[in-house]
Parts: sequence; C-alpha cells; structure tokens
Amino acid sequence: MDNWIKLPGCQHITGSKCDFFPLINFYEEIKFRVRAEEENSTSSWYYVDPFIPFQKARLGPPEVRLEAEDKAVIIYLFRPGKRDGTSIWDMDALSFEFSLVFWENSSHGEEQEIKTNFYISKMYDLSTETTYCLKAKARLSWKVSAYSPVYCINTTAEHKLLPPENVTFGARNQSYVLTWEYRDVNVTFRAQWLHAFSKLTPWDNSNEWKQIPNCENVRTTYCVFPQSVFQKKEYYFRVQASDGNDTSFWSKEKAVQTEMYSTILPPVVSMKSTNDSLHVFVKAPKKQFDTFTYEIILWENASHTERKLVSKRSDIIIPGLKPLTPYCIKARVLLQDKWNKTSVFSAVVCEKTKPGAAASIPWVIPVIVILLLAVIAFCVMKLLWKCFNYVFFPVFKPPCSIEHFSEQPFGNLLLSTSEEQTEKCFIIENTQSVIIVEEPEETDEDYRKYSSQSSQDSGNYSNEDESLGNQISEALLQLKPQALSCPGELVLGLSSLGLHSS
Amino acid sequence: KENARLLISMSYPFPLRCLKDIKGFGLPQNILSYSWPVERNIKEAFYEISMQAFSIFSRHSPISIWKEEFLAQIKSGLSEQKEHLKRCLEEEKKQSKNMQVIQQSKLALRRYFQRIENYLKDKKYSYCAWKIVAVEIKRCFSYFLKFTELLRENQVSF
Repeated sequence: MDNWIKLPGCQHITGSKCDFFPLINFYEEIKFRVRAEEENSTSSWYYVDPFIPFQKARLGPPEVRLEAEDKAVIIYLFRPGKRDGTSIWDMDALSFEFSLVFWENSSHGEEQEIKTNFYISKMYDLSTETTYCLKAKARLSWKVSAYSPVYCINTTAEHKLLPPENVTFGARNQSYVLTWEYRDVNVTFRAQWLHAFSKLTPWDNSNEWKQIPNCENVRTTYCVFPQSVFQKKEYYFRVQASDGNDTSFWSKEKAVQTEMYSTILPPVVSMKSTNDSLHVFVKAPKKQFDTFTYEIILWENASHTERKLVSKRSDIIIPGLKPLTPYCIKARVLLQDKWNKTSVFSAVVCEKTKPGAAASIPWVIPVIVILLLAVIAFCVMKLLWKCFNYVFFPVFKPPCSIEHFSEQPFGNLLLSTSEEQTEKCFIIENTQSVIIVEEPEETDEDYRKYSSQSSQDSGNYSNEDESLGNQISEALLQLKPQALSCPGELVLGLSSLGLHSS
Repeated sequence: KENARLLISMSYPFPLRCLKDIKGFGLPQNILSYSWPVERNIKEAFYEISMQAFSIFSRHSPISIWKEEFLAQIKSGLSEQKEHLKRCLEEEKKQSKNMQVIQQSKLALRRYFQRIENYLKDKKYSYCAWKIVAVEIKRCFSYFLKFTELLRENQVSF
C-alpha cells in the first residue's frame, strides 16, 4: 500500500535526533515512522502524525554582511536557509521581511529599528571612524525567526571626494533631466540606474546597475536623456563624482516612478463649421493611455470669455453658437491616472461659423410658395377632371322605371359607356356589379361610408342634374371598394365627383 | 491584465518543433471554489502566481526566448502586481484574525510551480522548455482572470 522510503541520514541513529537532507516535497503531506532496532529484533513502528513540512518548518535567523564607507554602512542580508536551490524557503525568497536593529557602539548609542524588504540596505549620515552594530531577524507571514548574532563594523576615515547630493529627477519636453549638487569643480560625474524590482531579489544585484546614456563623464551637475530610454516603471538612480584618479562613494539613491514625469504629447485639433455649430475633431498623438479625456477651450476671437468642454470622444459638435463669428479652440489631454497629468495645449485653431438660421429663412419662403402653387394646381386639376368627366360621360336621364330603385346602382349603364376608357378597372366591375345588385346591403354601407368622405370634395361641382348626379356618383362610389387596382388619381377623381351630402 | 497581455504577446510565435516537449503541468483548478473568504483567497492566489512567475523569470533568465528589455518589462509588471497585492493583503490581515494555517490553494499553487521548475531543470533550461513554460504561465493567468470575472458577475458585492 504505502511505499515507505528509508530516510538517508537517519538510519542506525544512536541518539534521539537526526538531521536529514530534505529530498522531499515541502508542500505535500508527509508521514514518518520510527522504530527501535536491536540486533535482530525490532520494535513496532511509531507513526508520526502526518504534516506538511512547509507548515511546520520554523524560520532560522538571516545572515548579515556589512560593508563600510566613510559616512555610510551597506547592509547585505541573506535569507535563512541554504542558497543552493534546495531550501524550503526558495519559493518565498521575495516575501521575506527583515527587522533590523542598528546602533552606534558607544555609550550614547540609540537603537534604530528598521523594517525593510530589500536585501541590500544602506545607513546614511553616519560619523566617520565609528563602530556601528547590527542584528536582524526575518519574518515570513506569521513565522518569525530569532535575532541573528550581532555584527559590527567601523566606518572609514573621511573620503576626499564627497558624493553628490540632492539628486532630483524631472522632465523637460521629451527628455528626462537628472540633477544633483556638488561643491567642487573640476570633477566629472556619472549616473547609473536600476530596476526597482532588483532591490527585492536576494541575488546579488550590484552588477545590475546600468549606465545612463549621456550621463558618463559629464562636467555639469545635470544630465539629459530621452524619455524613450525608460519605461513607465519604478527605477533607482545614483550619481558618483570622479576627478580622474579617485572616485567618490555613490550618492543617496533616488527612487523615481517615471510614469509620474513622462510627458504627454498634446493632441491635434481641426474644425469644420456648419451653420450655427462647430464640428471639432481631436486626435490624440499616440494610443498610450487607457482612460483619458479631452479638455477643449472655446472662445470667440474677439472676446476673452472662454468656455470649457470635457469630452471622451474625439469628434464633438458644439451647438448654439453665433453665426458668422470666428471662434477659436485649443485642446489638451487629461489623464485619469493617480497624478492627474495633462498635456500642454494644442495649437490654436480658428474657424468662422457659417451664416446662421436667419439666412436660412429665405429658402423656406420659396418652399412655401411652391407648396401653395401645388395645392392650387391640384384644385385646378380636380376641377378639370370634373369637367372632363362631365363632357365625356354625359349625364342622361335614366328611364323612369329605374328611378324607383332608390339606391340601386346604375353600374350596368355606366359600364357600357365607360368601357371605352379605363378597361382595367371596369372589367373587374363587370363581374362585380352583378353581385352588387344582388346584395344591396353591402352597397348601402359603402355608400354611406364614402359619402361622408367625399362630401368635402364637392368644390365647384355644378348643381345641374343634381339628383342624377347623385345617383351616378352613388354608382361610382360603389365601385370604389373593388377598384383597388386603379391608379390613385382615378379613385380620387371618382370620389371627388361625390356629393354635397344631402 | 496587462501582464497577461504581455505574456500572451510573447508566447507567439510558438515554434512547431517545440511541440514534442509539451507537458501537462496540472494547473490546479477549482482550488478557489470551496474556500472562504473567496475574495481574499483570489488575492492570495494572484499574489502567489505573480510572485512565483517573477521568481522563475528572475532566477533563471529566459533570455534565450525574450529580449532583455521585454524580460525587464515583464518582471517589472509582475513585481508591481505582487507589491500591490501584498499591500492589499496586509490591510486585510490587520482586520481579520491572523490564521496560522496555510491555505490549501497556496499549497496547490506551490506544487504546480514546483512542477514547472522541475521541468525546466530537467530540460536544462532549453529554448523549447522556456517557450512551453511561458505558454503555461500565460494559461495560468488567463484561467484565474476568467475565474475572477465569473465571480464578479455572480456576486454583486465583490
């Protein structure tokens, strides 16, 4: 069932303790069993409660190495455990926290307590030729080690060349500028940089400091280098002085988050004017950022009152402006990061608005005139059509016998005469008209319906032969429901012949 | 998310000749499903992943597959992420009682990353081995990002 393995280094032990080289998985549960052996007899196994080595392991103290300068001490820390890749703490190398206690080894030496995550620290502003001591303990989440033994060191005599001071970082146009202070002249400087994350790695990072371009052997107390050299991350900078023979110690390290200083290019603005508004186009220089907005300032060329607009979009329409007025705009990018950085303003662009709504009135009037003319023409056409029908469809008195049919259609009669004209419609009616005769009820409905509609259309209809006219129109109206395939005008014409309702 | 994007961008191109070296590392899935409080455990999981990924890229430099600047960018990103999560977790630890038990999720992730490191060592940090590890770590980020997004959709107060 279980494959018990002999633990190397813990065989044939005479004491009650053994150390073994951990060829085990630290994060898996492990079982141990022990028994006593004597000659040929063995005891039964004692089973240890299973446990996870990483959980049970206790933290040893860190190792310390000190290096002295004239007014500073460099502290090199090493995490507990072997550093050959077999330690249980290998995977936690970046999580260690160290508590240091640092004091001057004299009667009035105050203890300084420092907490740090860095494997290399430095204590500055110390006295020359003095003994300083340090002890350290390591912490990994809740596990805390005991203090290391005390380590002491003497600072050296004062060094001839002092290190540069007050290192500052800034941006100018598309470059970064590193400046420092130095009293003497006739020295050259060089500046170096380091990735911030290097400070957290326990591997020797002193050779990871790199030279900044344009910052070697400079005689000025500043150096300028392009922003493209660095990404938007955290870096450390340090400067050193040299007079040819001798070099100073390194200055205090300056931590810089370059994103805070990087310059944002301004956007490019263009405009188009419509009658009473301006269509603004803003183009960001490069897609560098996640969340940003544009700030647009608008003002009339003559006055100084400015209007501020904020927009996320790159094309904006500004309405409600005065026509035929020159307006000017400028824009800048507003970043919504933690530093609320902005770019400089773009170049100013001016544009005159087009003639406004007042000028647009003139073209409304002709439209209205045209509409009126169309209505008049329409009425004239209607009248002509009535006359036309009157001429070509002569009114005739029906035989007296037919008059008795009060609302009977004269579809037959009409059909015979109008067949000459619009065959399409009336051919259909030909068949239908028979039905109409047979079903008077339907026709009644239609008649009533359409009479109310067409009563308005009477217009200049002559009152001659009114009664017959009524009857004819009745017939015509009855045709309307079936005459759906007719051209619209014909239908309209038919209904317009309609009634002045009685 | 930016780190995942970076890793994704550098997993391609994947040379076909490396396909023979592909190995399943057994990404621990569902380790967060049953643990409570879920929000804190996700943060711890991401902290662990960021830290271990950084550690792998830092201790054994994959310069055979990535240019130095790009590797620095990845390491910076991972380091920032890890530090940010560390601060978040420290604040939470102050509020809640300090539990002296190591979460199962953390142990599972450790074992997973151990498998990755052992693989690299066995393959002697070859080009193909690094390529495969890069893809695997990208997968790991993607998986947990997706998991987080799903949780966010299901829980209103996330």
